[in-house]
Amino acid sequence: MKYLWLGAIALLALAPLGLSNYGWYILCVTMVYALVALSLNILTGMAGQISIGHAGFWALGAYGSAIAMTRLGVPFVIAIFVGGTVAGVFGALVALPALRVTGHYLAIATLAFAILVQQVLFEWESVTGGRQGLAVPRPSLAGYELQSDFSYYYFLLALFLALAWMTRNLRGSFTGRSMMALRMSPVAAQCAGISRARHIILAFALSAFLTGVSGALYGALIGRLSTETFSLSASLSFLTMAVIGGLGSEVGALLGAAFLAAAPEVLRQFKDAEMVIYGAILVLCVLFLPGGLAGVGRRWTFSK
Amino acid sequence: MDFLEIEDLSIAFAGLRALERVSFNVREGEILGLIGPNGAGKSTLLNCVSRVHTPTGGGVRYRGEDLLKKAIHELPALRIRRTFQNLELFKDATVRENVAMGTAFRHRGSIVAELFGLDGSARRAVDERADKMLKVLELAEHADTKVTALPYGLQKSVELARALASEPKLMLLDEPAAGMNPEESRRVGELILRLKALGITLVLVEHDMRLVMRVCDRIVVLDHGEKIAEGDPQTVRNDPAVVAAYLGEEADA
Repeated sequence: MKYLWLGAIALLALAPLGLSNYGWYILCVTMVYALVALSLNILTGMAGQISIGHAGFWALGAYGSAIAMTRLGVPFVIAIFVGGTVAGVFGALVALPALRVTGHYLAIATLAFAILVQQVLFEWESVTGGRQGLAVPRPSLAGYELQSDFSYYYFLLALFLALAWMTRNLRGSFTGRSMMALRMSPVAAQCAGISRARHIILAFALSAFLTGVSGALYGALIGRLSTETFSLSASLSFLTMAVIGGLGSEVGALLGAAFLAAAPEVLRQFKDAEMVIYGAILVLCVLFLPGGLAGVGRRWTFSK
Repeated sequence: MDFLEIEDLSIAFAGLRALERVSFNVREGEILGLIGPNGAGKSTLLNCVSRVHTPTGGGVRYRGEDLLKKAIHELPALRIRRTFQNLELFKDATVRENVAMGTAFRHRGSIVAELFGLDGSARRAVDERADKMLKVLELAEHADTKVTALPYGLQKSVELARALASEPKLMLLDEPAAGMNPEESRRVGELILRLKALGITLVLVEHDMRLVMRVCDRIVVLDHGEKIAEGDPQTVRNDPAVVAAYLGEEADA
């Protein structure tokens, strides 16, 4: 497992060499998506909760950080954190029904939330630019602008590795194990003293934070935000990515993200049928690759 | 004041009465058997006491404390634990991990320390405690086995180990001998008596009458959600209402 990781890191570090601008951009998109996949690793893989509204948290991270930078003059690195925190707070709020409801009602709540976020961002023109969109400055570090996606990629890679390491720590920790126990047997977990509400709200908050961070990084990558990006189909693509990559590992998050970043390049020729093909791939994956690309024959475990 | 007091407990599901004003007490240190034909409400009663269900009427007091004011996850801290009729194990986890989670309520760690991997000593302490319990229940050799790979009888033992890991004072056992052969059932009986010797108070829901008669100090009989008898095993066995209820079940079958 250790060698697999070292190999993966080496591959990631060498990936941009020999690629052009467009290749670097795709690599950056992969890293941005990989953070969302990590976040679904926590929410769905550990806590067993489904979200069909992660585009909402992604949007909050993107707009939150962009507004912090352009209106409040907050530096990029701190704006990322602002975006993540805004999303994380809303993540906890969306999960509040967890105090009362069980089953898939929470998933419905996430869907409603994402639609609401998109509408508000669209209508609130004075702050978000509405249909005009919102320009986002290039990412910069300590006053130096990361002019090419080549250098931005390494920044994203470092951030991904740090956050993947934390996600991995969480999986082995008592909190992570408690989330997994709730997924496997809610009643036994609660009878063992695990508070369902506390852990599900925490899972939502952490997951939304990570997705918010990803949104902030995405905005800086593309340079212009438009509410259309943060649609239901984005939420569904995220879910597809997580399932295809595998919900139990960080390598799976990367594989799923690479798929989601590369797939549009391949599927573009199918135009409107794109979502249908996504759906078909998702169904095939659930049927034949229950652990995702990373999990062929691999079981979900608490630790290691 | 008794150890556990159940008073006028009632619950209905979709208008169907599952328990109707059931009252009885459990004394500290005893094994109380809870028996009755299928559908009598035994598991429902256990679910009410363990806060899986909230009764529609009546009260449950444990050492004078109103249990209905507690949330389900607050019970382990009061030293109340239970097992389940149908196994409720953490299926993808190993035996050790399952038992370790039995001590979840004791954990008070910081999420920040966990994210940065600074919780190593807490993790080791939890695993050590689990290993100790596995040794007691002769499961040590299976510690790293995925729990679902074990035979059914051993899985039941793991569930028991998980509950015992928190050193409960009151243990609710929901059919611990279900699906076991006579020899395994006899060993469950010995284990239950060992728990009693350790000072644990037990409520035992069980269909194996030989086991119930052998280990229980007192027995409460439910039928159609109502208590029809209470007393020592000898009295209950000869109670005409109990005999009639069980004969009725045979006639139905």
